[in-house]
Amino acid sequence: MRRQVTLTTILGALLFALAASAHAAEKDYILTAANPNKLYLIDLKRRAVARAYELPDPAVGPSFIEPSPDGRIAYVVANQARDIIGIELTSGKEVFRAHMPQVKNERVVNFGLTVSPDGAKIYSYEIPVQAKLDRYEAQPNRIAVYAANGGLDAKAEAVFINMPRRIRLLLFSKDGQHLYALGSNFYTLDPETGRIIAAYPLRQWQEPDASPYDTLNFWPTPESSDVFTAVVVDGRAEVARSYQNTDVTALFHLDLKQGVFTVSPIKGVQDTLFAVAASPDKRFAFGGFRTLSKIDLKKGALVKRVDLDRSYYQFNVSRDGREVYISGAMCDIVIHDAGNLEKKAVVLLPDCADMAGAAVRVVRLDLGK
Amino acid sequence: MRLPAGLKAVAVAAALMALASCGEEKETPAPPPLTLRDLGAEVVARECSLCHRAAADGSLSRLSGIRKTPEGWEMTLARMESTRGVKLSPQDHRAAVKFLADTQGLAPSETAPYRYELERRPNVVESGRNADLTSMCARCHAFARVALQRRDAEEWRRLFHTHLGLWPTLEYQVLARDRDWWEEAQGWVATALGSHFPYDTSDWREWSAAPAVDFQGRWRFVGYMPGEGFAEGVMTVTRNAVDEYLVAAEEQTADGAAINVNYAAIIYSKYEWRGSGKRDNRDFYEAAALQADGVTMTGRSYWRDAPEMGSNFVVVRADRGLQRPLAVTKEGLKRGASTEITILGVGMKGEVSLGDGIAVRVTSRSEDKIVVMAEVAADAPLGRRDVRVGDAVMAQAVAVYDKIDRIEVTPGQATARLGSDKIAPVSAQFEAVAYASGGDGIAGTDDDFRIGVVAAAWDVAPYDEEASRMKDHLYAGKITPHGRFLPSEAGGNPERLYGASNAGDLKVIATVADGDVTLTGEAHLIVTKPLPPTQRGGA
Ligand code: HEC
Ligand code: HEC
Repeated sequence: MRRQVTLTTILGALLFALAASAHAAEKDYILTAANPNKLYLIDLKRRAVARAYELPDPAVGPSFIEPSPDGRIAYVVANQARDIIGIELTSGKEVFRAHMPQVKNERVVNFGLTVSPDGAKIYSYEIPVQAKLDRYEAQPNRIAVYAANGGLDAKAEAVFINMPRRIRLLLFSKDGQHLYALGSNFYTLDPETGRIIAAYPLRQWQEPDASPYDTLNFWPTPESSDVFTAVVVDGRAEVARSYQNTDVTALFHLDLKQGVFTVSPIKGVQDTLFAVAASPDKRFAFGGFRTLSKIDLKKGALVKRVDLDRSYYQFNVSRDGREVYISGAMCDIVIHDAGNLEKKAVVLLPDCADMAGAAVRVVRLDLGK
Repeated sequence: MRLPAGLKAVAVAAALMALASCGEEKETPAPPPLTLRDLGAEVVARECSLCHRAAADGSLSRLSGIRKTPEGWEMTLARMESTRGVKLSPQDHRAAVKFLADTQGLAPSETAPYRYELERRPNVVESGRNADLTSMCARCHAFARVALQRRDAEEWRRLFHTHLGLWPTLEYQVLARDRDWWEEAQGWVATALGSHFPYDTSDWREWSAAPAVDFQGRWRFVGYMPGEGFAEGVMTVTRNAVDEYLVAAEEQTADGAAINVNYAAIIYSKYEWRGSGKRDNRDFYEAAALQADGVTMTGRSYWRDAPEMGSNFVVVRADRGLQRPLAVTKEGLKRGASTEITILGVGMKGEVSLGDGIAVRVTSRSEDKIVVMAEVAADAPLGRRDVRVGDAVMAQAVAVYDKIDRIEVTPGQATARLGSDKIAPVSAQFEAVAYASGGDGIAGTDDDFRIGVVAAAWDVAPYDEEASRMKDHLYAGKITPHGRFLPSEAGGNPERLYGASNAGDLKVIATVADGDVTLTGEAHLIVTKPLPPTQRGGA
């Protein structure tokens, strides 16, 4: 066992050296961030940090991360969600920073970020509040569109005002035709105009014997499957049990290639699922909190579950569908086998930097380029 | 509109100041020293009007449209100082709170239902509201924080803008995401609060016109600290300045020690007594209200660093010839047994009577304190009964019982909080209260009666299967022989399954012996994460 690990490590190192010298092959990395201002690329073959970046000042508390479609730029939300910072991963340079306030005395936080499939535009869901002399005035929530080449003082080139409230995530359809906004309800928007094409009132959903869905989605993990998967739970049950023993009623699936979404109930899940991600072949979903659960999506049933060492908040699947990456807060990213769910490896961030609320994404890029 | 009465005082004070500084000191009589309230009026006019602009009638924008308790003003001022760069000296700060609470405070009738918040009573179950209002406004803080403010709908709306300005994520939290929080807050919530808790009320108008009371003199006090017992004494209150007093208390503590405590008290809004000082080098605070009779105060004193630990007290004037028993140290008197009880009160004269079937032998007495041996006949009538001293009656103060039928642990539902290096833990105190099932022998019917607090042995156990699997009872904390649960430290515990925190879901179990019979009672205790001080209460 021990020998095997060493061998693969050496092999990995060799391959890496080869790859580096040849300036070729793209590789898969985990892209994540940690307090106070770190950004990391973790080489998934070598199970080690490949590059560490410092977000340029001012930047603390990185949270959401959206990779550009070519994987070369990481858009990082930081400073209590008040800034969007674009870092070019090959050079480590800051190439983008959005200044969200549009008038003096406006304070804006970002609550959803996505990049158009051509990489040209950045969509930011924004909650603006104006601070007047003797009062705050909450403004209608909006989506601002920034040009990716807007530079370090990027200003919105389009603004969609009066957007639905309580949106948590923005996602793009693969063809770039639709912008999805997901929060307590789900909307399809026209990315050119911000017009609502369709609204699905998840929260007001009527189903016999079930209370309305509660969707709590912090991190989209569609990069391996082109499917965005989220847990929707029985909202009031969750309140009653405050994250323990929650009845998971269903999984929400949004196929970003085909533009269809489904909400399907899952049988046999006993544990809280804080987050889930689908496998590339869309047959399984992996998720959990204190346990790792494997769910058969065709059968809508739990296949297997294993205990984890602590509570984890994020679950990603590798591009080949063979591994599950489990992370969120603290400094460890645990790698489990997607087949038998056994633990395979742990990657620790240098100096045990705390990921806190930072997103964990899987990206494919060629660092040599 | 509403003219801030107090702001007129500013003009007067300012005029006096101007006179004083003009120089001709020999001819002009020395101006009376500024009262704290006048100083406060000046501070508000000077410091607050920078942002809260004065209208033609002298009212200040926003500021003049809200009434709050002293604690409410304290919270707002603290926020002005921490987020708006307002800089006030400690004296100016105090003065501003005094002025605002006096001129824009709440009437006694308006605070009466919510005094538990001002007194920082732990584990109060708030009632009387619909579930929607609870979800909207009483999950981060008590509803009392809301109900202890008065403003019209428009001002309530502005407060919700403030909430969103300070906590942009508010709408994403559990109990907010299941609704259109913002739309509801701006809509029916503001409207409802504006009509339930409006700025202008006849209660406040009338109270504002009532004369002020002089608190000087001698007062008798009796305090009860759950888990510990009774403390009692006498305090002498002397005036230091207008509405400011010095208190010299001679106290007999619950464990029998005699101590002297000197501290300061201030009166807000003519009835809100706030005392503060040190005992054993530890800061305490007391919040009490003068009652409508003008001679009684009720309230609670507590440790500043642990507000859940405190004493509920009653204070009565001892210099007005009043005759009143105030407390009996033991409520439950068993048939056929002799029990020593102490009656604490003021000016107690005349015969002590505990009613039919109880022979009373007084072993010692003063006007403040009577110790009696109560010999209860084997056939004495069962149930609650009055205690009489001369003509004074303490209604239903004791109970005669033959056996304990059940034990209730109070509070039945409690929360304790783990402590961190930054935030002190919050403990929880339990008591075992004995009940008799009454003549029908059936528990839970109308003829049940309370026997009183009884000694118990304490233990904790997992509340349910999940808590048992997680072994919560081994990690969440410990319970003392006095029934106080002391929580463990916050943060992940590597010893636990999943490295979980020391949070836990527990049963608190009291075991009581009544002769040969052993009874138990249970409460539900949730041990959870630390809470930031701003959400801890105090209105
Ligand atoms: C630098 C500007 C500034 C100054 C000076 C200032 N305030 Fe404010 N005040 C604000 C702002 C902005 C708000 C709204 C945000 C809030 O409530 O925190 C506000 C809100 C308030 C409110 C409404 C709070 C509520 O419950 O809705 C009160 C009352 C108030 N201030 C009192 C005062 C007092 C008293 C002073 C002087 C000691 C003062 N302010 C000084 C800016 C100021
Ligand atoms: C997300 C949690 C949260 C919710 C929900 C919430 N509050 Fe608050 N509220 C707070 C906090 C925190 C403070 C303390 C502000 C400070 O420290 O100055 C506060 C303060 C207040 C105050 C005192 C303000 C002052 O300066 O005196 C009032 C009154 C109040 N809230 C009313 C409400 C009402 C009414 C609602 C329902 C519409 C509500 N709150 C819902 C968190 C909340």
